[in-house]
Amino acid sequence: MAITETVSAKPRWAGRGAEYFENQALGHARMRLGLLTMCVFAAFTTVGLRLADISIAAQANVERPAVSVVERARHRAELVDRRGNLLARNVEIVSLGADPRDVWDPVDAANRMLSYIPDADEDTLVRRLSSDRHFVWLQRRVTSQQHYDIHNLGLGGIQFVEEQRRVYPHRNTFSHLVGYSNVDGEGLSGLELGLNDLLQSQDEPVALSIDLRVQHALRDELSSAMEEFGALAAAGVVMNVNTGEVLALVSLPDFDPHDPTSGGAEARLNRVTGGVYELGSVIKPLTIAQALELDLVTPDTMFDVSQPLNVAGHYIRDFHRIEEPIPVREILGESSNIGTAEIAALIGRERQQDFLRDLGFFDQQSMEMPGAAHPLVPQNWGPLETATISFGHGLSVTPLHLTTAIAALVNGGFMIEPTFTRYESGTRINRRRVLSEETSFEMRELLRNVVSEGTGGNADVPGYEVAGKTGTSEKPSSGGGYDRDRLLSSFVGTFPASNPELVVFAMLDEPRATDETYGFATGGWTVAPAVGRIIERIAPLTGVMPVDMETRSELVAAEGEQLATLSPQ
Amino acid sequence: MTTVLNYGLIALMFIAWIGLFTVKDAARDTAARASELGHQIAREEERIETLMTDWAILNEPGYLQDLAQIHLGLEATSSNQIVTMSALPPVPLTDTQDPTTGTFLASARNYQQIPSAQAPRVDPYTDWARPALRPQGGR
Repeated sequence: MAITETVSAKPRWAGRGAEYFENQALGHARMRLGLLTMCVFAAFTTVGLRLADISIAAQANVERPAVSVVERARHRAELVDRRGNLLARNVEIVSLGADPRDVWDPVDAANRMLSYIPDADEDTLVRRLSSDRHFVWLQRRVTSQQHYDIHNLGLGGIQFVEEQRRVYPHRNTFSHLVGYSNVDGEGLSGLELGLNDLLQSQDEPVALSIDLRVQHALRDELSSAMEEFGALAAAGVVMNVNTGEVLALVSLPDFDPHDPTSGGAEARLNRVTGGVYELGSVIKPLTIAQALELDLVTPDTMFDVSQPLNVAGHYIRDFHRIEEPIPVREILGESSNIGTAEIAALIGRERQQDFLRDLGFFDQQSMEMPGAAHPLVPQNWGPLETATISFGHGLSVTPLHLTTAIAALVNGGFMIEPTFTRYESGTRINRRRVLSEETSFEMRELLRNVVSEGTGGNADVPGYEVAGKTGTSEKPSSGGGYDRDRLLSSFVGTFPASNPELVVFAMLDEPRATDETYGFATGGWTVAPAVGRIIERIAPLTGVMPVDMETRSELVAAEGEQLATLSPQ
Repeated sequence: MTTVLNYGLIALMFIAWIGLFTVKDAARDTAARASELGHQIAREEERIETLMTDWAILNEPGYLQDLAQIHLGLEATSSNQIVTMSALPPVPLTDTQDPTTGTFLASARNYQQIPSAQAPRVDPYTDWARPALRPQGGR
């Protein structure tokens, strides 16, 4: 049996002496010792390598400023104009603070810092540095040089707090357009509010339809006109007639977007999109265009405007009495209220309302700019309203409503939507026909006639074929009716008349007549010259070349004669 | 034999351990450098952006306009200062040109001598426009 065999077998150590066991025990001990040595060696090596590791890693961290506290506001994309000029962006600014518990010597620290922040008050600094709070502000917004210098002082307890701040390099120039945002990076007004979601979600700069140079020219000329005529306020807008892109928008008085409350509530009103006005005669082209479209009149149809027109017991009069019958062309050119009201009577209330509704005059405009005002439409629209609205009284709309409608009159008859973001080339423009091509052509000619022969002469610029219409309305008085001395003077112009590119609207609130204007404060005397200057400045900027070849050839002929006398015979 | 193999493996483990540490250290070193470069790039970008903002502030059109008016006497361009090539008059013939073809009869040297010798020199490309069409403000 196997068990018996095992029991009977000799053990391995059988017959071996004590020396054998001694040697074997020593061998085991040596091996254990060797293993222990290895373990200790490995442990020390690990500790040594880790030490080296820590010392290397720590060295890499040395350059990081240990005193800074970083607070980052939410991301907000840049706003740029249509040519990429910066209009608004976030800039990291550094403010100086301290943890007073870590400041060794408040007086010494204050004195040393004062040489770099001279506008700080020594006593205030010492008092703050000696307080027992965890954190005190010492100076908001230090320059990068001050940051560098104070950091290099190596003072204990001093902290630099990084913050994001929205910077508007052009300050008041874009106050209503771009608007402003709060410290948390949320847009509060203007396109900062209107494009808020886009600005927060997009990394790339957001390109507006605005042209910085056109905006400046418009603001510069409007400020001059406002000053010259002592007006309370001014507003202006420049729009591309074919795309609806707004190139410039100005409302004066304005404010610094870094300190929006500085100008008061009056300065924060965007008069172009947020104010509604009875704009006066600048609306007359709409009445004439509708009558032409309906084939009720031609530019040469004659009307008798010599007598005041009695409508529902009220008399409609002209600014200057015109004795002779005049054609429609001159009704617009001389801005005859009587003639326009007579034409409106031919159109009738229903059709007039339909057309104005078509032009968007009854609705708030939808666009990126927030705060669009709702037009004031009369509740009772009788024959008197039909007559007065035909020449711009009784219906209050925003200047942008009118600008868009005039664009439709001259661009071939298409109603377009105003926009403040740049269209990329090839973008399909959303447009709707409201007038025929022929009517639009006739209106361009009639509006050109207003400037070349009529009340808008002061807006003419040789070579740019300015077409347009003057407007002067009396402001409603507090006691009912209208106040003859408080005027709203305006001018809406487009150029070049043969192929309009831009439409320019400008308005002065309560301009006062001067000696140069012969006592008149009407649109033709106050605003039209300003629009002429604006067009003269912006035409070369927008690539519109002088097109008036008659003037050109006269000039060239004169030069040619001069040259002939100098030429060798 | 087993003992030799064990020692060999232990040695190999050590070598691998040291090798691994070296690689890890190098990787960390590179990562630290990359991070430092990243920081540097961010700082540079921040500086560039600050400079771009400064540039935008300095390019404020109103400021430039004031500078141009005060120091250079420049004014806004008027429409009659702009002229297209098509509005230029034809170049007048000189007596060195063939009236039918307009080509020069004499050599170019001869042509140049005529104005200086016989009549005031006229450069038809510049002189004709000088009185009225040049910008009136200083340059």
